[in-house]
Amino acid sequence: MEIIRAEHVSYEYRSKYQATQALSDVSCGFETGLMYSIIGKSGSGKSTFLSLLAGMELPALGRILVEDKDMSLINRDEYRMKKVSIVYQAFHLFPLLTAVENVMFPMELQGKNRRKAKKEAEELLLSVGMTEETFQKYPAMLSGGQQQRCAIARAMSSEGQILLADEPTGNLDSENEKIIIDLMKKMAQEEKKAVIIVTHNEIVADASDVVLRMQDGRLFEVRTK
Amino acid sequence: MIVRNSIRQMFRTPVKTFVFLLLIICSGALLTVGANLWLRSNQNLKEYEASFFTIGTVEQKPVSIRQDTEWDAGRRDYEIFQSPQYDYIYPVSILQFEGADYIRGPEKRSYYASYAPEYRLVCSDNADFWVVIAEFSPVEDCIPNESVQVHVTRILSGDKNLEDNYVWFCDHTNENPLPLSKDKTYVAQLGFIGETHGGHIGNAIRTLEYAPSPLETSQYTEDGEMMEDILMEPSAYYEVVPGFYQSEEGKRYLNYADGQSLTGKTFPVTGTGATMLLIPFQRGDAYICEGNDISQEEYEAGEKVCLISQTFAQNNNLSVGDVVHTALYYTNAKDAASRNYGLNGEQGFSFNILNADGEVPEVFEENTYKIVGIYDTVLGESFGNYQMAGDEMIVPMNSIQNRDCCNILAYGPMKGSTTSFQIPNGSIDKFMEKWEKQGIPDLDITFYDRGYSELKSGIIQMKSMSILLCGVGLSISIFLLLLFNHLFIAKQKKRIAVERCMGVSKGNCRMSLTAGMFMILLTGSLLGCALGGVFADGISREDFRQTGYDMTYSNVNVSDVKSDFEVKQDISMAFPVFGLCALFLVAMGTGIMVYNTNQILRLEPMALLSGANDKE
Repeated sequence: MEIIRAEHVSYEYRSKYQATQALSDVSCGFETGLMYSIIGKSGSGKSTFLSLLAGMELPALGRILVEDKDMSLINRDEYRMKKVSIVYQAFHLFPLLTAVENVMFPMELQGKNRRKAKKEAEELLLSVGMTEETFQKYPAMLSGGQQQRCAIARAMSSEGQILLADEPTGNLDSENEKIIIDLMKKMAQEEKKAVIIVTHNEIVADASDVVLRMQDGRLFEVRTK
Repeated sequence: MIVRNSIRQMFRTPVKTFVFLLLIICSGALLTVGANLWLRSNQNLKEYEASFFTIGTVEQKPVSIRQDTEWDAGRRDYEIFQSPQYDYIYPVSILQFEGADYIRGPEKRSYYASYAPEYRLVCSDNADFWVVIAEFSPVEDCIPNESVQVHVTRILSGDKNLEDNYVWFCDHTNENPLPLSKDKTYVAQLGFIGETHGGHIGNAIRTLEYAPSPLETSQYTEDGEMMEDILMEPSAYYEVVPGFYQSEEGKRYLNYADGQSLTGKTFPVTGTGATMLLIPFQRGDAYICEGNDISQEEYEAGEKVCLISQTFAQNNNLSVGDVVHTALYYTNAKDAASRNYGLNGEQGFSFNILNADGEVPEVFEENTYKIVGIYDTVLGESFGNYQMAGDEMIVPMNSIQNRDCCNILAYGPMKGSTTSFQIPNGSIDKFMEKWEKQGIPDLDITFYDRGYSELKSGIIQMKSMSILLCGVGLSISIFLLLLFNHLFIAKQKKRIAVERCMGVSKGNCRMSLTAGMFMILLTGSLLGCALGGVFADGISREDFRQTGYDMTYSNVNVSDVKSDFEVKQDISMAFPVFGLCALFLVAMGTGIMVYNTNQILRLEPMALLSGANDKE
């Protein structure tokens, strides 16, 4: 079932002196339970596309439908809070919150009781392979792999069905890379989320159910396993 | 939750947060102290303007000093003495020039002798007057060019104890006195001049000798012209022959005796345009201890109101609201009353109480004055001419109808004790600059401001210091707010981008960024400004204590000196300033925070977060 769909989406960045066409007439849909990879060279428009899917911006032309509702017509703050979670290449954990507090943050944002949120956060951290000793550590005290696992736990804590990931393995060694890919796959298959990953990594692409190749702002190829 | 997380994250950087708090406290304190001192200085200046008076006194300098000689029988040689010479006596109107910014224009004060037999005066008990009018006969034929013994046969005026006694007599200042015959009686005005001398005294114990002086008159027109005495060059003593007292010379002795009897029943009345123009009041040596000063309106309208001395009030059971009767009979347009009427009743005159016709001056104006205030005097630095006279009464100059025109027995140039004016505080230099352009070098102007200039310069220094403190406090505050905004807000771009990606609204992002810093800013500003308020309060109290000391008696009325209660009321202004400074700091800090936050919220979150190696 398609949870989010792009229809003839175009977008351009405007600066004082020039306009750059970042996306042109991109159309595709994303279903829950599948892992998608968006690949392409730098400047091909994949991060812009991810940003539009995250509801940070609206397309200049075309539309994005979330559960068949036009994104321009819905509350996008609420959409991001309840439907989407994002994992970044540089992790972007809150540096002054502990690992468990980072995972609790989206839950508390959604109005969950603090005690309950803490319990669930600890469970999530354990589920992504973190040990109890790491719970009260600040991000800077964790390794890159631990930080990304923590970021994924934070993404999992959101009840949203869409997980967007921007180069989630870009800063990791091969061992941690594999763990993260497995976690992503698990989220798609077991949590029934639509996992959409922007990546250069062929291993990640190979592990995905669907691979979308972008070139010069256009969707060049869609490859389904 | 957003606010809690914001504060929690602030306290996860305790050193940075504590340093921010501490520095905001310091800058708040500086700002408050500066603002308080600035306001206090302004208030003090206003208070000083109202409490201090700048008075100028004027004295005409003689154009030359003439050396005169007078025979000294004791030394048998001429004594040289100096007397000031004035080509021209300047009228007080010379001080009215363009640009002279007077509060009270220049006045040359005369005093008026009031005959007051119904009052008890400090000079009433001073019966043993050192000048006597006496008839005497020498014990032997002699020439009184040295001390000779004479028998006092009759006292016409003065110390009656001398009657039928023997005293030493010498025509001391006359090189060729007329011979005296032991069978004859003579009359003279006698006064002490020195010790006995010459061969007639033999082995007698040296004692005081009496010398005669001629009964000259000195009456002036209102223009200051001396009126001619009807007796041309009267002699120092005359032989009393039958019918002598019917002659002009004889009548003069009788008249003079009458005049002398008035002086013990006379008090001086000084007319002025403002009490503060009298130097003893300006300097604080005289102050009103009961009732009020004469108001400016009363002075200008010439109301029949007066100030009397405490001694006069006590001696005559008078109090505020009672009336005093005056009967003015001569004018002294030369000296301050204190030169002729001492505080303790002693008297001394450089003129005789006789008009040009050799008669006792008649009363030219009678008035009844209501007492509005009673003054007392303290022993200050202003002795002599610059002190109050015994029983001196102060009235509005305009209340005397016949001022400076009747029975003027003494007339002279402007003196510091008789001529003064008031200018605005702090305008001495400006006044003198304009005065010097008038090109009148013969007038000496002396200013009395009771230290206003020094106080003002101190306050202006304090004001400059307060502006500096304010400036430093403000600069440090701005610098700190910008620095810590950078640390706590501008460097949190990615945190906000992540929050935005998680669906936190812009409003909540603003809250998330600023709540923690706002709490620290608020706490620091309140603590710092309160601390500054306490410092400023302390400084103000110390300053006011000193000011209170300096202002004692600086007002005419001693009751105007502020009480401790009033001092506290004045100082309470420090606290509203503390509140305003804290509010200003918080408002400025919040403004900077909101501006920075808005700048961050304009950035595209995903673009911010997409950099692989970016670190916050």
